[in-house]
Amino acid sequence: MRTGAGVAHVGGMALVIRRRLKTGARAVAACLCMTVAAAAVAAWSATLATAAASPGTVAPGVATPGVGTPGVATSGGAGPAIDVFGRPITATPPADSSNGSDSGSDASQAATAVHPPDGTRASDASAAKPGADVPESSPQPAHVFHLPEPVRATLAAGLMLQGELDSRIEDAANELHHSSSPRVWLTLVLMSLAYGMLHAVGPGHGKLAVGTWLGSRRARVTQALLLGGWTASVQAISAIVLVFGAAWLSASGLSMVLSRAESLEIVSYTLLCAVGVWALWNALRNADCCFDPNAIRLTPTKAQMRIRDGNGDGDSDEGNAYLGARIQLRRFEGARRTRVFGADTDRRTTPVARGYSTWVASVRTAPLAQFLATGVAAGVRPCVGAIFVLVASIAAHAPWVGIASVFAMAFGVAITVSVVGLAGVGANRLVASQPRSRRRLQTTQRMLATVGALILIAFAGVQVAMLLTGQMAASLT
Amino acid sequence: MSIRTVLRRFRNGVCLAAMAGSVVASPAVCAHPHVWIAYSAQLQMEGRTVLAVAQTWRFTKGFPAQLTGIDTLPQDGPLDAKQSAIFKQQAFASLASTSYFNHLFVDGKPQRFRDPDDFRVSIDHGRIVYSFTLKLVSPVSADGHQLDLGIWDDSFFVAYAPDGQNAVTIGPNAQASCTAKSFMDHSHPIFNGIVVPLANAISC
Repeated sequence: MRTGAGVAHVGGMALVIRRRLKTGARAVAACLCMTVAAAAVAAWSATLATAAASPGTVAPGVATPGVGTPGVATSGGAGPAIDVFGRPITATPPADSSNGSDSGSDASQAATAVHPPDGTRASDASAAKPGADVPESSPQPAHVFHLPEPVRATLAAGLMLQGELDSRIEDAANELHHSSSPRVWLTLVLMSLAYGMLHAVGPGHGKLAVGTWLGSRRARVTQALLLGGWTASVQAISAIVLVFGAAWLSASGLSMVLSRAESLEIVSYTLLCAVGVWALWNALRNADCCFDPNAIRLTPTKAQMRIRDGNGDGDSDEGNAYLGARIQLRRFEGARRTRVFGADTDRRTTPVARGYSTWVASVRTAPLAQFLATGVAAGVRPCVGAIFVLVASIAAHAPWVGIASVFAMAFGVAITVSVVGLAGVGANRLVASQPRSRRRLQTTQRMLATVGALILIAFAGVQVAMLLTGQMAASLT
Repeated sequence: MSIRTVLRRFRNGVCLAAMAGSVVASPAVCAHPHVWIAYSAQLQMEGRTVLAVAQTWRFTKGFPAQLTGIDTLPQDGPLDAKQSAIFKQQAFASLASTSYFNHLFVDGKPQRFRDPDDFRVSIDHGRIVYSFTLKLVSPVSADGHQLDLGIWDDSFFVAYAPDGQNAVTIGPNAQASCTAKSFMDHSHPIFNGIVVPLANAISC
C-alpha cells in the first residue's frame, strides 16, 4: 500500500514539475522573444529612413560587415545618431561655444577680455562687448551629491578600476586584429568577467528594479540568484542582437548602434513601470505577496482559495486555513524537524503536509511572467562596454570571441546583481522578522509589496515622463 | 544578546543599507567612462595674453573607430582629407556644445571658444590622434587674474588624462615668467561629485 502511495506521489510530483517546467519554458521563450524583438526593432527602425537619406559622404569600402555608409548624421527611427562620445551628431556645429550659457554680461569679464593683437577678426571685437560676454556666474557642474571625501575617493577608485579594465578589454579586442590566439581571447574573457562584476557595482536602474522587486515580496534565495542571472543574460542578448542586427541587417551599418541602444532606455522604463503596476495590482489583491503560514483561521481567504484551486494537484484541499488542518500541519512540521535531524521521515509525510508544502511553494513563488518581465525591463538596455567589444570583434573578424566576452561580462554582472537581489530578500525578511511585523505578517507583507510596487512605478514613471517631455535626454551606460 | 543575534542584525543592516543605497543613488551613477583620451595642450600666448589652446588627443587602441563608418585606416600617418572630414562629422563636431571639453576659467568665470581650427586626424602606433586649435572668442590676460585650464567631460563618458608629465605647456611667444602648474580642481567636481578633474593654474 505504502509503495503504491509512494509511486502515486512521485507520479503526481513529476506531473506538477513537468507542468511548471512547461509553463516556465513558455514564459522564458516569450520573454526572450520580447528581448530579441525589442532589440531587433531598435536595430531595424532606422533602416528605411537612413536608406532614404542622402549619404552625404562616400563609404570607403565595405571590407568589414556592417561597416560603411558613414553619412548617417541624419537620424532614423531611433532618433538622432549618437557618436562614440555618447552625444547626438550635429550636422552644423555652432559658430562658437562656451562652457556655460550665453546670457548676461559681466564688467569684470569685459575688463579681462582684450582684443587680439592682429585685430583682424571683427567678431572677436564684438565678442568683447558686454552683450556677448560669458555668463556672470561661474557655472558649477550639475552634480547632486556632496559626498564625504572617503566615500568619494572610494567610489572614484572603483570607477577608475572598472574604467581601466574596460579600456584594457577594448584594447584586447582590438588586438584580435593581429592575433586571436587562445591566450588573447582567454585574457579578454577573464577581464570581461571581472569588468562585469565591477561594472554592476555602481547603482543602476537594473539593480533598483531587481532589489525592489525581490525586497517587496517573500522571495527565496534561488529567486534572487535566478533573477540576477536572467537580467544579465537579457542585457547580453540585447547587445548581441543590436550589434549583429545592425551589422548584418541595417543599411546604416554600425554607425547607428549607439542611437538604437539609447532608444531602448524608454522601453526599459516603460516595461519597468508596467511591472510596477502589475505588482501593485497583485499586492492589492493579495494575489502573490501576502500570506502567513502561522495564521489560524476558521475559513480560508479568497486569495487562499484562489491559490489552492490553482494548484490542481488534488492534495491541497485542506491547506492551513482550518483549525483541524492546523493540527495535522503540526504533524508535518514535526516530521520536517525529524528529517532535519537525519531520520527518514518520508513515510510519515501526510497528504496534508504535502499539500501545505505545495501551497507554500506556490505562494512563495512569485508569478513567473512578472519575474521574467522584471529581468527584461532591467536588462533590455545594453551596456556600451559590451557594444564596443562586439564592434571591435566584428571588425577583427572574430565575432565569437566578442560574444564570449559579452557573456563573460553578463556572468560577472549576474554575480553582482544577485548580491543586490539577496540584499533585497534579506531586507524583506528583516522587516518581516520584527516583533510588531511578525504579529501581523500578512499586513506587513502587503505593505512591503505595495511600497515596492509604488517605488518602481514612481521611479520608472518619472523617468518615462522626463524622457517623453524632453526634460531628460536618453543616456548610455 | 548572543553573537548570533548580533550577526543577524549586522547582516540585516547591511541588506537594508544596500537597498537604500540602490534606491537613493540609482539615477546618479552610470558605468562610465567608455572612452579614454590622453591629452596634451599648449597655451598660445602673446606676452601675458592667452589667445588659443592647441591640443592633441591620443585615443586608446580600442577606440571603436568603426562606429564612424570608416572600416579601413592606415597603419600609421595622417588620414586623408575625406576620412578626416568623416571623423570630424561623426566623432568630433558633437562636442561643440561642450567647448570640446575645454574649461578655461578667468577668476572662476568660464571663457568661450571658437570653432576649432586645423582639425587633423592621424594614426600613431595604432592609436587615433586628433590635433586642433581652439581660439578664444575673447583673448584673456593673465595679468592679475587667476587662469585655470582643464580638459574634462562633466558626464565622465570620456575620461581625460594628461599625456605625460608636462602635458600642458606655454607657447613660445609667452612672457618668460608664465608657467602652468597642475592641481586637482576640487571646485569643479564631475560625475555627480565623485570625480575630481585635473586642471592647470596659469600664472605670469
